[in-house]
Amino acid sequence: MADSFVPDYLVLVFFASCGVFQVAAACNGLQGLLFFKGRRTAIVFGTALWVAAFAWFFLSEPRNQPDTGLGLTGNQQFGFFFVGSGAGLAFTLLLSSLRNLNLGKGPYPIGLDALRQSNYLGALQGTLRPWATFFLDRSPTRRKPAWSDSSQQREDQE
Amino acid sequence: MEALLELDGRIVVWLNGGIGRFDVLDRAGYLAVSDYFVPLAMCFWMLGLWFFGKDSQERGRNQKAVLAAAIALGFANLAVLLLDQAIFRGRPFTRFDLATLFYEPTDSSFPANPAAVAFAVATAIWLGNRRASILLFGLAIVWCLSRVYSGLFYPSDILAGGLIGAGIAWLVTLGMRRIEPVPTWVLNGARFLHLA
Repeated sequence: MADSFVPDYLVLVFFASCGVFQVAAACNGLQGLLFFKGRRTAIVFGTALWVAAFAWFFLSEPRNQPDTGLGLTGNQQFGFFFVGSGAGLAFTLLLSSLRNLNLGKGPYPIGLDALRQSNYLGALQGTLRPWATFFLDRSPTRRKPAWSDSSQQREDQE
Repeated sequence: MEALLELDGRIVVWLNGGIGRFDVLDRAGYLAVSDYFVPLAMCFWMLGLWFFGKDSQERGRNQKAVLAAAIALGFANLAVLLLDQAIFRGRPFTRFDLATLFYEPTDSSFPANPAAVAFAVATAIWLGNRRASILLFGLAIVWCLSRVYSGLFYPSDILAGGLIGAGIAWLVTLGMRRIEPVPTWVLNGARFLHLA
């Protein structure tokens, strides 16, 4: 038995958050975030991952322990949830980008909607490139790229 | 007041009498009363809600509700921590001979921290998306009931905690509307990185 639940808690949050991202992406048509091509497969995989992570955490050891002993305080839970789910998000973005390398080409919509037609790294590159060009270009005719829905709408109106 | 406190105790003793009668209920109670199961389930629901919405406007509303819920959770925790310094009420298991499914906490019973936190999250989401909050209210009720069932809190602790949490969530949501466009800037920043 370990000295605290921290590693187990992080493992639970990491895997369960990966499962949540898969289910949420599949339900919202964010193809670029999926590990698998099929929407249904992604939902089943994500749900199974979430359930397995919870089952492992709660069945492997008795978890009703005081936070003065092995347990975690509320603040620790909050902090480690951010760490674990952040790691889960980074892993999901990386792996899904590698799995969907051939998915779509720009121009991409702003925000998560870009992941309907591209992988994450591709969309990010597509967004950052015009900005890099904008900052490097010193000519007076250079045009500022859109960075939000409202600025995009303003540009469209103009 | 005396009669109300007496009733409070009687409800706990009556509910707690169920422990040991039904094995399935005890197992479910052991899971529900945990410090981890319900809070994590709520957090994962919020994490999923971040991605939901048929268009960017609806998703934006959900995301603002998730932001409000996270902030309200922190403030509810802080409010209970401060109140605990001023008010001390012993736990039901110290006054009555009760069976428990949980370890025996030593901090104040009033107001109930789980109720404050759970209802803060559920109310903040309810103010942004009614349908998405149904499961959160369900989880909050299950968590609070299991805590009373297990002899850890009186019903009045739960009621007070729930009201504190819901009030804080309402204030946070109101505050976020007041400081617009700051929340929109935060979301636009995340949108720029394709994370919202």
